Amino acid sequence: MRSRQKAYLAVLLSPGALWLLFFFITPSLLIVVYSLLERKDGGGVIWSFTLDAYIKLFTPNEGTFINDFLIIFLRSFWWATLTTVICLLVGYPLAFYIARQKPSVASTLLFLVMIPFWTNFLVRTYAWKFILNNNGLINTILQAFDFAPWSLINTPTAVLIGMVYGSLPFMVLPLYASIEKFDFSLVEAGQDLGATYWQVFTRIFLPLTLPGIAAGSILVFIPTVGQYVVPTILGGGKVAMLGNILAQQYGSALNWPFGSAIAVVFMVLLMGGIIIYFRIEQEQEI
Amino acid sequence: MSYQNQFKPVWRLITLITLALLMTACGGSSTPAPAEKPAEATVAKAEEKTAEEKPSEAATTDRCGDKAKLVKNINMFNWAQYMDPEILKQFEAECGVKVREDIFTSNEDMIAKVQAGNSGYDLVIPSDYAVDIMVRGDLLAELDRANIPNIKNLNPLQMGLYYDKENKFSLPYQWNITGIAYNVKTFPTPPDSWALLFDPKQLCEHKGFASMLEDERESIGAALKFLGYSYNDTDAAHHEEAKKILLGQKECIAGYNSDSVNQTLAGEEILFAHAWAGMAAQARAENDNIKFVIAKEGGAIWQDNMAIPKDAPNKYTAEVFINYLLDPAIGAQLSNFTYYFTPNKAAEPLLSEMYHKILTEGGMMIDEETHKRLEWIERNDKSIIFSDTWTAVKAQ
Repeated sequence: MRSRQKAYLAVLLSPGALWLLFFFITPSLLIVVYSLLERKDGGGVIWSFTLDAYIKLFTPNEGTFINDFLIIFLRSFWWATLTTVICLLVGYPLAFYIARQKPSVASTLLFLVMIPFWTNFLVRTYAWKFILNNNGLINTILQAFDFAPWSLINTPTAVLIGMVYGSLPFMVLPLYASIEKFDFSLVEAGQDLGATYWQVFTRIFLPLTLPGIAAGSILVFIPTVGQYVVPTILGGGKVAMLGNILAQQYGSALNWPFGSAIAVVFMVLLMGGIIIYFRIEQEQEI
Repeated sequence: MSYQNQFKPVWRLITLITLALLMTACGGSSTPAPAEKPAEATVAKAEEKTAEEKPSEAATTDRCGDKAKLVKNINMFNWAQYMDPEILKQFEAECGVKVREDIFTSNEDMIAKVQAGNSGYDLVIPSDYAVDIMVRGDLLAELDRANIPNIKNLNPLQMGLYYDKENKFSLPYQWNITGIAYNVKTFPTPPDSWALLFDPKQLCEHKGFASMLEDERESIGAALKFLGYSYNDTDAAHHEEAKKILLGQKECIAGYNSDSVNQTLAGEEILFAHAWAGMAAQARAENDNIKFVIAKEGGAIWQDNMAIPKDAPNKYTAEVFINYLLDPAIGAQLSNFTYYFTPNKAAEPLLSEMYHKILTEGGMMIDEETHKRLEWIERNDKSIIFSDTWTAVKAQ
């Protein structure tokens, strides 16, 4: 009986496990291997072991402690953090509002949140370009009312707008799910026991919706930190994020080992961060 | 709200997120559908078919090589907007071969696909330095000149270049030059120096209205040229100077753009740009305020080429198609469409009046004296420094 159960489990797990093995673990390992090989001029790798890629990645610029790659790493993390925080500030009240509606209204509102996904992200980002352009929608309206034009396109602000716009649904949906599950009689209970609004929010509501905040933040932060499209289109390619530098190393630089090394360090940092986060969360639960 | 209902949102959420991820994941590269054939072409082809059956008439068109040896379909890997769809229709009507076209956006993307093997492409269009990489990587098949008699039409000046000295593996497709495109409304007196883009005083007068090419070799190269060095300089100190120049201009340019300079110039979103003459000519075709100039410090010259991957399934048909493209009339038709320069000497007299008008009045036609100021972008082991300089420019 037991062995049969095991066989069942194996059958159920194998499609997913095989998929992950072939399409996730193997490519990831391949990247690790590539990062330890020598660069071949003209693309590809030479099969001899070297740490050149990592040495290049961690050698500071002359006379400083950092180098250009580190600056791009830091900027990517900073911009992704900003995007996550703004998404949270905008998404939390929105999710709260949706969750408090009648189920029929709530599903309509959720549907509206989802509608942008019907159009390709690239197309929507181009649409933002037309909105933010020097002679785009915003500036046409500003000029119609005799205001000075606001040069937005090709600035970090434009990049941030594009990234917040693109990630917002990924924040709203998990937040909605966790707020939806919240038992609002707990608010009354808290108030009955003399808690102020602020205390109810920080001591009851916030901790109980924390899983939603965490899920939303992860869903927003991780894709954002490796952005490529938004800095290229809305930032005019002037300031690079991790995605851009990766594309450059595999593309025009034809330096696959170095591109792989950047990807490995990036993966380790993100995975490390997530593991630490889940550890802390588990400890809190105990 | 009922107890049961509490579980629903979770399912709804999972469905929604899956949907969302699916939809964003579908972004990737899309392959343009092969152009639909109009009814007349089908008729023409049907006639051709009947003609084919009578061997005496099959020989009337020598542009198709040995028709018995042709396959029905070949695959071409090309840059965007770089082939007149009419030419493909004519080739199909005349020779019965359908050319399916896929698009790439950088030489590196194209090389990566060919390198992976079994790409299925019979004809690719690598730029000069990319031919060099592909030859060294043993990715290209040697061309059989017996199948390409139209080689005789090619301009000797565009042949035997550094990347394929004997044209064993490649034949020129289109060539062009890099300089400055500008709008005459903003610049009534034509600019003559890279200083327009690299001297912050001149550039920042028009803050946000200039663009540079999103290309490390072109943009760093132009800065090097402005400083009096070569496009191919790999000296670290010179690159440091070039980096300073590029960082100094960064605040005042709109951005880096290679893909749509023609549109931004024509739409006057951008008033001057580091650009290819062909792109500037395309812009001028829509907006005759656009002109082009090669700076007094010099500019770049480059050439895209036709080549056949080593593992191409239909080499003979691809060679026949190359030969077809080198026909004088077809060569002229191609450049009339792209506004880039033709390497086909025999095609030059057949270029359209429109082509001549746009290029002559727009300053894209160059004389011999200007030609001397142009430099080929070459690639070698040390060229990796361009990537590092570019990263440094993008990091700040």
